[in-house]
Amino acid sequence: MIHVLIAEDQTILREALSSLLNLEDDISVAAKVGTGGEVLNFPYLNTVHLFLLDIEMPDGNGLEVAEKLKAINKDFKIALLTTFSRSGYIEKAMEIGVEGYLLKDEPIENITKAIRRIAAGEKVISSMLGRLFILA
Amino acid sequence: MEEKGVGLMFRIYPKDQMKWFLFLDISLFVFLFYNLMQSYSLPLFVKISLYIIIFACYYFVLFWKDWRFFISSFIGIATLAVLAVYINESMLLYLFIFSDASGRVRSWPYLLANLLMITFSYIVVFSVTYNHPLYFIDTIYLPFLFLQLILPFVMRYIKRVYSLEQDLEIAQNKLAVYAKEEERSRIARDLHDTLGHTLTVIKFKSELAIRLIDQDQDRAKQEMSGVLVSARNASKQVREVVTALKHIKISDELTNGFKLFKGALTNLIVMGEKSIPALSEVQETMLALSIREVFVNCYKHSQADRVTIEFKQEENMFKIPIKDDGIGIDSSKLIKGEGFYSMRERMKLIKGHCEWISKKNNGTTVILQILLNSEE
Repeated sequence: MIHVLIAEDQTILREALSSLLNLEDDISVAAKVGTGGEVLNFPYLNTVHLFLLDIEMPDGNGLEVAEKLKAINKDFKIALLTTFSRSGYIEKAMEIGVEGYLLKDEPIENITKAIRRIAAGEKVISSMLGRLFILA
Repeated sequence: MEEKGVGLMFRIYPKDQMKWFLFLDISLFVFLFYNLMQSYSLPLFVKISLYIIIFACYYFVLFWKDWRFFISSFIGIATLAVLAVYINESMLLYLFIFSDASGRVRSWPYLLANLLMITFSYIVVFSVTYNHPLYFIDTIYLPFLFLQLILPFVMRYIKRVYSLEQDLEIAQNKLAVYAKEEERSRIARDLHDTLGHTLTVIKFKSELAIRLIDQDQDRAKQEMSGVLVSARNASKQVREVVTALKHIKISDELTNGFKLFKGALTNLIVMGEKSIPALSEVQETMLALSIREVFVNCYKHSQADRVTIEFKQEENMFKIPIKDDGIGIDSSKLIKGEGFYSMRERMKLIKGHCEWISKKNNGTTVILQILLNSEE
């Protein structure tokens, strides 16, 4: 079972995403939080297999939180989940060394697949990004 | 005019000077040719050579504004002086060719040297032919000399006004492009921040509904009604993005002002920018647009060397006096102006008003003011 922490400031989105992930047999949502600060204050950080972080959040955005988590333990597995649009986010994410960079717009199957692969130790960058990169 | 024609004219005559000078120049050369051919004191071969020399000098003067201008106009003026001595002093009238040309040179020393040479030609010609260097003062040639001496300044003035108009057009185009760019990035940002999120919600909820529909129809139904709400939201957001009043900041308008006045060699001085109070988006936008209106008017009409804008708070009034040291404006003209009208409307919208104080040749002061905390 893969224990996932979801950090997303929009309640409706957070609930829908966690319901979707909970429907998978091998994924369970260990915690759902709405701000960057709440991630860092989560008491059982070590039980989380994967941090799924939104980028644009109040009180510490996804990139800052990812950086701090890596400072606490560089083996923490982190995936950023974003709507992608601001340039420079991906570069920054790569610099921090996150394991995944996923887009909210892609099919849920891709997101769950990516979660499994990251949990197994791979790095995953959304295949949609390649296209967006060219478009941008 | 056909394009071909324009292209040809462009090559044989500088395009930017054509509007004002071409016909004058042609007339002078036609008459010069006629006068030369009418006189019999010189052999035809010499006359034609001198005509060509003058024409060549004129051509150099037309296209060159550096030391070659100086040399060419010197030769040209000297040649005309020689013709005046050998044929008739009326040839001095053709010095208009070179006085006209010196109006287009940018360097003051060249211009003054040219005028001195022209005056000197009169003195030389009259001392040779009448043995009296200042004899021309008693003749009809005096007003002609006078006209030849002031012509360059008239030309300069015309050119300056003409180029100011062009500058203004360029500046306005730049501003328009800039505003369009801003608007585009605002729409992109707004779409991402609102519609982007809503569509993502729709996507997630639909996926959830698809997965749930076999196991838990009630929940699937719930999710689908959530999708419906979001979809309605989305269309509302699109409307909002499109119709939203663009927020314009005062600080951006000041930056635009600096750019605008830089082109006109006018100093813009900003005072008390720190005392701009917290304003609502509408208030700030309306003030910024009014400031823009005043700046553009100063730029177009005032001929000011210095424009001062000040921000100050007096009790619960926020005042923005904008002063210039330009030529001032007639208040009857002002009230008819559309710019002034829209400015007054804008200020009324935010429960403020504007005053306009102006004296002829004594600058203009516009005071924008609003009552703060007037919304409660």
